[in-house]
Amino acid sequence: MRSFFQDVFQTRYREVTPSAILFAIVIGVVMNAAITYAGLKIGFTIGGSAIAAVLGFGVLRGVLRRGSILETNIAQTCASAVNISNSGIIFTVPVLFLLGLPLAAGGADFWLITLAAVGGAILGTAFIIPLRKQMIEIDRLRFPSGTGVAAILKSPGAGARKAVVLLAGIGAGAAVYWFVAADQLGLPGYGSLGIDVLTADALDAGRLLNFPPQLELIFGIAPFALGAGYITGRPGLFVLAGGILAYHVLTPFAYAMGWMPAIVAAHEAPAYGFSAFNRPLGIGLLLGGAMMGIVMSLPAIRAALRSVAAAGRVRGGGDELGMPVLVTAACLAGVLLFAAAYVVGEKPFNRTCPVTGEWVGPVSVADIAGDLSEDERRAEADALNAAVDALVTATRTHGGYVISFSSEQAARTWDGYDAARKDDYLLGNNARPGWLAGFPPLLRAAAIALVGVAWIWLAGIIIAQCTGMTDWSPISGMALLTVVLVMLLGGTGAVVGAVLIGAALCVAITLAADMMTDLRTGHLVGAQPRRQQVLELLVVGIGPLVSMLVVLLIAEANRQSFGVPFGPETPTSAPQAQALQAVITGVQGGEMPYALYGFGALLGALLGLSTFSGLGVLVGLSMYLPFAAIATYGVGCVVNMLVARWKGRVWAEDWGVPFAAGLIVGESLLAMIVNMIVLATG
Amino acid sequence: MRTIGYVVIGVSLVLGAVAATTAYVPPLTADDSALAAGGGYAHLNAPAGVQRDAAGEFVLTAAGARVPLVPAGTELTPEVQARLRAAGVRRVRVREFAFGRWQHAWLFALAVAGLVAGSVLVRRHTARAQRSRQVDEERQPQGAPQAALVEIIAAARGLQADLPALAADADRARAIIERVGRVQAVLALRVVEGRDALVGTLGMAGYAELMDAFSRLERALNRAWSAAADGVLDEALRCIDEAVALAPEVEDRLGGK
Repeated sequence: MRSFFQDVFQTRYREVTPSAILFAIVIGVVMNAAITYAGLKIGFTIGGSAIAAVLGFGVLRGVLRRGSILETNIAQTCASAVNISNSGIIFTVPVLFLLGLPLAAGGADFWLITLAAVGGAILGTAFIIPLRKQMIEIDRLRFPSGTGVAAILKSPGAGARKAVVLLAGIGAGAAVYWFVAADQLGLPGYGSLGIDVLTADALDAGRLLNFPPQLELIFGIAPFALGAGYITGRPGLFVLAGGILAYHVLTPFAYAMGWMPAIVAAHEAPAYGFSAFNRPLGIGLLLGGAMMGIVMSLPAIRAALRSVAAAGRVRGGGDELGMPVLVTAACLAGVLLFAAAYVVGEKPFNRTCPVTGEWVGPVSVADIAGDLSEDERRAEADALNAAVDALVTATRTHGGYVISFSSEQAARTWDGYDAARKDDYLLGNNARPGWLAGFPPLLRAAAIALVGVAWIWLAGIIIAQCTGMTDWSPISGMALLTVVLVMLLGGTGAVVGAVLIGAALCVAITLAADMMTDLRTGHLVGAQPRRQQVLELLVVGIGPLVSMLVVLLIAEANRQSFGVPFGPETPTSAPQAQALQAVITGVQGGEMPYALYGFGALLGALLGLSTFSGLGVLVGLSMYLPFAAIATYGVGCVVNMLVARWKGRVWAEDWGVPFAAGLIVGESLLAMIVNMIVLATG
Repeated sequence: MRTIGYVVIGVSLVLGAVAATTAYVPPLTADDSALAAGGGYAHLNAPAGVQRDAAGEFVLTAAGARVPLVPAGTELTPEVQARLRAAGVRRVRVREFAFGRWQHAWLFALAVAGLVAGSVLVRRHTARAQRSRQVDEERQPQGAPQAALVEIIAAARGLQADLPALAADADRARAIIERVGRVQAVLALRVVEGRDALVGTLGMAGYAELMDAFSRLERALNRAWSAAADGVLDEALRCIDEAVALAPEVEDRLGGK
């Protein structure tokens, strides 16, 4: 153990230092809070690696005057690990508020979900570590953000001219993005310039070229996407191809053929096509493509695992965390997931007694109807909760659900109901029995935890592959699939359990992608992977806790100001959680297009049969993303190819990548500053 | 043949996706039983039809949206089907999927066959191209990724040999930054771009083992660059030594040992 810490904190070249870790935790927490707020407002989040790298230079080198490239790399690794979990939380947890389920800081559900998310964070990080060799060293995935961050870290050593190029990129990115961010501050932005084809954050080239409204051609004003596209280069064009298939072939064709409902107007066709077929097909393609990618990469994965196992046998640890550490971490997280699934599964799913209609579950202020003041509502809710606590409730199990009653007498009345009446009660409350309904509770929780662990592993690989190839990670799509999977296993009424596992998975896969991106940066600057891995595992638990507290804080503030915790009536509409809410009600109503997911998966797997096994992933990813983001990303890819043709590959890499990295930093930094201002001033 | 293969894959993907789009959109035929599902009939998953006023214009809500004839969730009983047919509705989006009413299932099957055929064409071409590239590389080895690997190793050994001759630390650091910088910007890029050729020569498992060894050497050089840029020359020199010590393993794997 001593040699382990001696190795991590070795001092001959500044790498792992207390100041780097402290800086990382502080900046990671600040970024997490600001970006959680932004994500709830606009629906997507930003990675913090690039921001942390730039700030790390400023603080560690500028202020403390002793930072090294590798020390700053450690700082950005830890800071992004603390920050990144916010997307996993905000895509899932607010859906509980939207569905009217109470989630208070003192409540067990809050801490269970937090615990599961922390477990997911450890699991995602631990699971992806053994694949570092395969993805970064053998398959040489590009990880555009990771490459960009390495360019930032290396820029001072690469000479003053490259540092100037980086700064020029940051300036350009911030300048272009300013008029997008200005909207959040109530200042004039692109939308108020009075130019017909400019919206608040996009250029509507379709309107400029007189395209029909169902054929969307919009370029997002997003220096981040432009920079990421540039760093990806030619392979990113497959993403553009998938976007063209979805938005320029399928949607207009389906509209023209009358495959959309007649109430859908031409300008509504892209949004309808997205939810009706492009998104399910895209997610299916992603899944199928990723699975084929794993099959095709088996020799590389085998070699990588052999190498990791060999590293574990080296005295002192070698380059990589050995397999026993990873297996232990995975087991611990699996146990956490099991415990959370068991406790949630044993909780009654109903909040009112099926016989008497009395409250038997927690009552939130939002549950109190009538024309009452905030204080009166709170007092009413408190009184009802006290009454519920005083009840000696009885429980029964039916269809895999625990049902609570206001008294033993009510429970005995329920016992007298026939099975059909009990089933009707469940159906009337959107609670169809799940596939595991016949299992005893312990076995059911174990099965859900096992499936959750396996699914996290698979989803982590998918997300890491997507991030490695394009920098986009389809987290919300994976969250959606997870919630559907858990609801199918546990039953459609098991919403809290589904969101719990969904949150754990989302946090896990974001951490998997982040770990891999940071390891790519580390490889490019010569960091020892083992040190990055140890530190990331040590700090990953902080992020979910911060995000959960911020979500709770915002929900409470919104409820006091607007009467609802999230939604279109508030400044934080939680768009991704709204999409998840639609999926949950879709599953409960039997409206999910499962066949489309299956057909997409088949197409994705077959696409991977050719020489490029990741093709299905790229095409699927782009069918699932908004076209505005894909188009700008595609422009970045094309610019890279043109620059390479004009000035040569080496020049394009040497000078273009720092500028592209600057674009990423410029947008991210400005977005975070604006979010902090908005968060501070309300 | 490669281009044909990719065209077949592209066209098949488009056809497959178009066909899949119709999986839940069966036509409204004269046969009511075509929409039977379970014990009853399929349910609408999206509103069907649209209400029009006497002048034939769309009836609009206060928000300006069109008003459907039949809302989502409605069971498509024969009466509802008749009503929709009378309003000129030709297709409906349903919740329940059934192969029997998927009109374009044949097109999807064709697309699947096309994807397989296209992949076979591309794979065959790639295998042939790899064989011919191998022959070319044996004749002119300097352009091959193997040559880049050899150059990288030579660069590391050259640095190790030349650095003691440089008196000033600044000169040593500059030499490391320049020479390793060239490895990073030019030679490593050639190795990555030559992946297919290396896989063709060594097989996937052999390539993986080579890259495992090479990556450790490359990372040591990258660390040397960072340490030199930070002015920590001792660490930079140690990393150059480490890279040189790793070189024989790379050479062994490159030779297929």
